[in-house]
Amino acid sequence: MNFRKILALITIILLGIFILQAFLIIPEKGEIALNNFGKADIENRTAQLYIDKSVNSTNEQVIYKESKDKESGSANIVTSIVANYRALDTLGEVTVLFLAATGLSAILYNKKHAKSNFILKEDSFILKNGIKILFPLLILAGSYIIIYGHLSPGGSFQGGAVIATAFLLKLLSSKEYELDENILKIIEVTAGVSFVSIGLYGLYAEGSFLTNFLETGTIANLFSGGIVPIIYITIGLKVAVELTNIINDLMKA
Amino acid sequence: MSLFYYTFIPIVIAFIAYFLNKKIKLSLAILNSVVFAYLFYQISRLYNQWNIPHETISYYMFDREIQLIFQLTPLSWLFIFMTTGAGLLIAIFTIKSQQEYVLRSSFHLNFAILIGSILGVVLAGDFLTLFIFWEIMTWSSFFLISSGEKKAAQKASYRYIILSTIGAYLMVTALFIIYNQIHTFGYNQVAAHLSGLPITESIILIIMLAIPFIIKAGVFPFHVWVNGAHSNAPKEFSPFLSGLMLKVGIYGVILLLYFVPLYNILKESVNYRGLPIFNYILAIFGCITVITGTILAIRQEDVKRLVAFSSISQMGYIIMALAISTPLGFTGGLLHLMNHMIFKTTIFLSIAAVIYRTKTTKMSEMGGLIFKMPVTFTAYLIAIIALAGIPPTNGFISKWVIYQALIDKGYIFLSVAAFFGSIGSFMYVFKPLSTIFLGQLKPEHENIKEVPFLMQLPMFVLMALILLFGILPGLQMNLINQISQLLNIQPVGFTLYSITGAFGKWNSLVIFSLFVGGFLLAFIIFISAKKSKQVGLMDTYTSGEYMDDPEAYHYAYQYFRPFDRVFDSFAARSLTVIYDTFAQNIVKLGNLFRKSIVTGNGQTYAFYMVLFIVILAFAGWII
Amino acid sequence: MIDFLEKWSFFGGSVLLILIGLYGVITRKNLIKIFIGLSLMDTGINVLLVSLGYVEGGIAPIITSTINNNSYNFVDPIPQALVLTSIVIGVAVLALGLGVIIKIYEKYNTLDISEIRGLRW
Repeated sequence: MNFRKILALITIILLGIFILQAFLIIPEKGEIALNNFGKADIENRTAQLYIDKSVNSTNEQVIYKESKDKESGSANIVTSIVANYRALDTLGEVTVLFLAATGLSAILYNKKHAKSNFILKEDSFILKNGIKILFPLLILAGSYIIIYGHLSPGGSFQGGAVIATAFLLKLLSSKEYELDENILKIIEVTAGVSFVSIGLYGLYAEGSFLTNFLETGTIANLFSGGIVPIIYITIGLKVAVELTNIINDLMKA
Repeated sequence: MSLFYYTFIPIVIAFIAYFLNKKIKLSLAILNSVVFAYLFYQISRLYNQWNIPHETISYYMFDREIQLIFQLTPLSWLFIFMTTGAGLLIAIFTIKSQQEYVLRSSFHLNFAILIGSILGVVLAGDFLTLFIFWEIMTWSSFFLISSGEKKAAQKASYRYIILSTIGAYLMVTALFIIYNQIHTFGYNQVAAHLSGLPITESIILIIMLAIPFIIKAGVFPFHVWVNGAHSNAPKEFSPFLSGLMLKVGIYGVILLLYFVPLYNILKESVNYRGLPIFNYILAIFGCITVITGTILAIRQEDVKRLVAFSSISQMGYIIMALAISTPLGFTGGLLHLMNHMIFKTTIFLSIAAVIYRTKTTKMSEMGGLIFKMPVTFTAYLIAIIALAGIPPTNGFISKWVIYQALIDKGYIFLSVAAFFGSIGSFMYVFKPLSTIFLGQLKPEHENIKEVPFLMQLPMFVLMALILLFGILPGLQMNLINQISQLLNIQPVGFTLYSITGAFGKWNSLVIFSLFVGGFLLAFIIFISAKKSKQVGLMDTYTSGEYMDDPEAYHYAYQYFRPFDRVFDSFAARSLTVIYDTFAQNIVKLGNLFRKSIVTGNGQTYAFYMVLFIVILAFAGWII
Repeated sequence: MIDFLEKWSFFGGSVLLILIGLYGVITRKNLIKIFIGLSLMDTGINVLLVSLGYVEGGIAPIITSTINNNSYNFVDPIPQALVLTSIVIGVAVLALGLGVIIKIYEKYNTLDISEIRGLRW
């Protein structure tokens, strides 16, 4: 423990004290914030409008398999936020992910075509054969998570991560396994362009970017939610491909 | 022609010509000569028209009216006349001398801007106008100095611009303090305001106003830029730098001492022999400048550095004479100002001619050029006779008046310094004479020719002026007495060829006749005496022994070594060393700061951010 | 007591994660460890954000056969959506940073930042 570390520790403890102090004070209400844990006042938050699916329409009960033509037809409310109410944020996020993947490729470019130097002593039998079984299952699971993103927990990011994991395992299992980067690129570009085109069509049809222009259908049906599932599938493909790309780049580096 | 145009014509024409220069091949030197000749003609016609009204040029900046005021007085006429005259001569000189100089078009652009801005400074009718043109002058001369051929020119110009900037900041601060109180920059209003203030306040303001001028004049505590700038500037610019730029600083000093009647303001303050303490300190600074400049000039091996130090010491004379504030002192100062401009320009031009042919400034690498460059030699000889103060040249008269003024008031110390500087100037001007023009010709200089006629012409004109003013000082005295009248100083009695001092009268005509008679006598003896045998310069012998290396007899390096040895310790403690030490210590302090706080390590900066937030939180600004 | 701990484990715990990460960023010399510190800070912030939207006894905001928007308490879905974004960006930044670290290691043959002097004087 030298002087530098002690100084850093003291400063950080002071900072911690001040941050925690912030939790103990809410001046306008006269109560400490700590006691508000678990008492999030959803009723008065914007979230309630999203839950009721009534930002622009009247407040009605939303009932499973019964309510029709609501504002946003997806049963998973987080999904309806990510892919509908705040889809523009998601577009930005996907762009960040894309930039990171591109930046990584650019940084590691000169080693791109070298063989993987990830040290594997020899191809493990269990890994190799286990993955042969697991790989299609993982792809299937990932696809399910993406496609059912608007009905059940999960969504495109999670599903994309699962698909990327499948490829990670495949890369780990065999030194010879090579991903075709052109196909990856085509999928990624198609997905990204579709996302933006859907948004632009919303601009053309409804007057604002990424607006829902399809029928929202009945809550909790597979074919419901308007553009939400379509956008979610494009995002899922994009995330899956980008994460795979990142893994591929890092393993080849 | 409006006074405003005198400053703007050279600048505008130079700019247009500079940018057309790429397309049309025209010599900027010739163009500048023509422009300066026209200005010179116009200015000479302005003589005696002192009742031209003030001119005001208004422009608007941020909804506020700003005025440029121009006025013509005998004093400013003297300066604009000298400036355009010297500019014209140097522009003519540069037509031929700059054939191989790469930066010549920017030289001429900056030179024209400099001339225009100096005209602006001296024609200015208030402090704001003066300051604006003062800054233009500083920057254009900075570019001129830094465009010197040597590498050291950059360092020298750096020193110059730093000192000038310090001065400019002081000046502008003082001006705005005053402006804040009286809302005008006019000379008379500022003077009246300064006399009304408490004595300490007005002294501080006056010192802040005086320092930029003293820096520009190269007086003692701030003389460190002069030698580097003069010796490293382009060879054609050195004459102007020494002849005019230093004098513009003197103009500022005159402005403060006489025009803004400092004497009246300070009369009640501490006195020494009837002289306000500020003036006396200025005179002491001048006296130190004389001694320092002289001693350091004697030591130099580089001819331009030598003449630069000589300039410093001559500036000391002028400051000393002006600071003692008597009619004789004022007259002597202005006389020496004019005469120094004439003979110092001549010296620098002749040296520029030598450099143009030999491509070196080291005195030990030259010698025996007297038969190769007779006109240059003659110009140099006459100019150094004037510099050393030997009749019948103009330098003698001005020095004579200054001695009279110093002795009349009984300033023993100043008088001793003045005499010391005079004797010393014999020594240092003899050094280049002996080592460049006399002695043995170097083998590599066998094929040197005299410089072209266009380069000789300015030297001829200046030589004629030196002798003319040496014989007829009344020509200058006429103007100086008009200036004295303007500034309420009692005029000094004079006729066309005589000046009345404190202890008698100087009649230059008698002395000139004596000199002519003496010369004729010597010439008659010379031609009637037995002809001596002509011996070649390399035909040396020692007791019949054959010499391998005849060069060894040319004693050009460390010429005054025994004298220099006495002052070795003095030179080692020069002010430059002190300033440099100061600068190095500041750099060390900065390094300390840099190494301990600005580590260049990202983690440290992250720590600073956390610390900053913690401090903000402690101070109660964020939580 | 349990109640108190429960509250602290989310608010205090997330702040603690942030502080531990910050301490690592400031004091560690190894680049990978610095990135682990950054990642910890990221996690701490995510936990803090999610815990701000927690409702006692609340469930995930998904409409199913037994649950509609009025019958049960939902937790706040907006922090969840934001944190979803935040996690993905965290992963992307981490991957990019690791790529840079690989390059730095190739160039300097060390991960000790006090020996990497390419950008320092």
